[in-house]
Amino acid sequence: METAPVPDNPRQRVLEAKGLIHARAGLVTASPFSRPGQTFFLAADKVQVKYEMLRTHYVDGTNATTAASTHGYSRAGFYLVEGAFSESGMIGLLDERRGRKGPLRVTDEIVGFLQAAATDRTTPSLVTEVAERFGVTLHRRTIERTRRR
Amino acid sequence: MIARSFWPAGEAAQEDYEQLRNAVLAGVPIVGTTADRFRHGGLGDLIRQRDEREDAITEVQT
Repeated sequence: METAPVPDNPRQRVLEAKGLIHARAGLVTASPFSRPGQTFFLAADKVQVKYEMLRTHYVDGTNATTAASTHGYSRAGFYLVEGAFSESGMIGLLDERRGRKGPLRVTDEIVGFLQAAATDRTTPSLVTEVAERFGVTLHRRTIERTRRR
Repeated sequence: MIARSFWPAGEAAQEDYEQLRNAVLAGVPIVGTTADRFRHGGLGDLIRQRDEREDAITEVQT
């Protein structure tokens, strides 16, 4: 596996701290990234590389295999990125999983509690109460979706 | 699973990035808070910033 270059600029250091360095930055050959003298397109910026890989496929019409290989990804990797975007949009390009911090999913018991909660209860107060009652920290959007069901 | 189309840009973070991208490729200097954010942490920071903003709006509306 190619190793990412040693961080030598502030953006790259931030990306490294956040675990967002493209592990195969050295294999990125797509034209925007190889333009001399520019700093906007950074092959080490994994999120940007994923976006540009999808962009070159959907906007420029490059086939998936070429889009993948010129951005340091396998064809299978391309489809994983595409699937993540399809499911979650831009946030899907980040590797992190948002929302639930506890190990449990929203159980029927929690759903029942949320749906029985008074309609004037605020979401933050329900976040707190669910955490206290069930030991699960839910994202506010999860709570809002559950209440709308 | 929600199937989202990649193009045209449908999210604020994507629109932000496309504006910066177009400017850069046109040779126009990028300035402003969005540009600063991008310079600091790349596209990931733009995405997080927009996501946090949407969360804040949701909170106010709650």
